[in-house]
Amino acid sequence: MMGSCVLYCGIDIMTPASIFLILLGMYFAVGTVIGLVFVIIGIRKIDPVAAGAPLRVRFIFLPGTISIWPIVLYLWRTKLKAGSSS
Amino acid sequence: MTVSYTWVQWNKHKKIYDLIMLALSLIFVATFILTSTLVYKDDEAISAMILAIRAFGILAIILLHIILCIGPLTRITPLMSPILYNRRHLGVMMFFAALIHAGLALLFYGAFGVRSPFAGLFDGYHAYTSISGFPFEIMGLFALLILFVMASTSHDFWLAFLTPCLWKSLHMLVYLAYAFVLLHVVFGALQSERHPALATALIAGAVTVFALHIVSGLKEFKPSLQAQEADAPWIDIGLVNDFPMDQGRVVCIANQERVAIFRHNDGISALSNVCAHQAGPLGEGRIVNGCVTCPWHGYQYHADNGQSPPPYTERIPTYELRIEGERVLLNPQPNPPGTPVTPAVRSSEPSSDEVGET
Ligand code: HEM
Ligand code: FES
Repeated sequence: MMGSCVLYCGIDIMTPASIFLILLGMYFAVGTVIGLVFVIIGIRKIDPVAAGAPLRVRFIFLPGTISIWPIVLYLWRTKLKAGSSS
Repeated sequence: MTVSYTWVQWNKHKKIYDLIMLALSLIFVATFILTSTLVYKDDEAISAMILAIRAFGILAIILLHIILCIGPLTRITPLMSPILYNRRHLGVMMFFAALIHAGLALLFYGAFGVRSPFAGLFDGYHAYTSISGFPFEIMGLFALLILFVMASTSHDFWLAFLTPCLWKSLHMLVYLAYAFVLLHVVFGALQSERHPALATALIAGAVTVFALHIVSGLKEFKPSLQAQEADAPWIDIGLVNDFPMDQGRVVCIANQERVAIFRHNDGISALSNVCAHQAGPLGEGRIVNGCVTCPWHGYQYHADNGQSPPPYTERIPTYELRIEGERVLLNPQPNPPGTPVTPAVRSSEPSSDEVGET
């Protein structure tokens, strides 16, 4: 192991494996933040059906946003634009 | 067909279906652990944790096979439609089985030792779980990540948000996940040469999935009907009596484009064969309560305008039909989605030599 970079929990962060897992963790972390904003506020502006759903129902869309947040961001933007121009 | 969203879109049928599948799954896991404990004794005894890991792994892969076979099977026999109807819930259930499997594996082989639970994913314990040292767990992880994407976007909201086309493409990734699962099991479990039964089952499963897709693909293929020179652009699609009452028929026009034909009351109507929900084959459906009903998940459309009955808002393209004598002619140019078209009716009573076939 490359001793200099071993975290206290035992992960050697310099192996390809650890780098992959850390990136994956970061991806999910970013997704969680974006997801929270999306389901609490964002969704109401772009989906009339979801807008009518109570918050606790909208939370079921959180895992999906976490898993594909780049697509969500892209479509969110497109839909907002389409909404404001019409 | 969404007017409001709920947590899980359950109805009575889906609840019964889910309960049965859940019960069968739990019975499978319990039986697996119990029989293995009875069979492998003393020296050969396997810890309950390992058995649980294996049981959930095998449960997940069985569910995955069912999911992959339902689609082609419904094309071959409509008897399978009720299972197709709730395939999505089955998919989510499979994800949870795989998640439990992976979670237990990571806990057992990782966290209880000195290493981080995840370190083992790539380089941890192959010394005794596989001969070649191929990191089979990483294949499992890739599969699990794909299954997560699909399970987490299975709600109808995602179908609407992503558009059916993108949603469907995303969910086609299930085949990639299947490939990863096969690698995971081939390199991991199989290489430790524990059970020839698993190898046989795996090969049989893969062959079945493959064969079913080929057979249903062949069945799907229909020669395209061409317009008669003299009567272009109208295409002769057959006799009025070729089309059964209230039962759909698919005809294939140029470019493998499919049109669903429905005979209802006295008239015949033509709609796009592609359901607005997830592109199910409408022509393989029936007329229920006066509406064309998709065989996949039951979306409905009026045959004479391609519109879903209110409060639903789906619309699909319609086609013009005309009846000449007993022959049905179709204009291959689709109308914009939701365009009303008067159903074609026989212009007069058929002459005596034209009736007779039923
Ligand atoms: C991060 C993800 C995963 C990890 C870490 C993982 C780990 C493992 C491990 C350690 C084994 C060997 C168990 C043993 O024999 O002691 C195994 C076997 C197996 N896994 Fe996974 N797995 C993962 C994902 C999956 C997925 C997604 C599926 C299927 C959908 C799956 C299906 C199986 C099957 C069928 C076996 C063979 C069970 C047996 O040996 O009887 N795994 N997995
Ligand atoms: S494809 Fe789902 S109802 Fe038609």
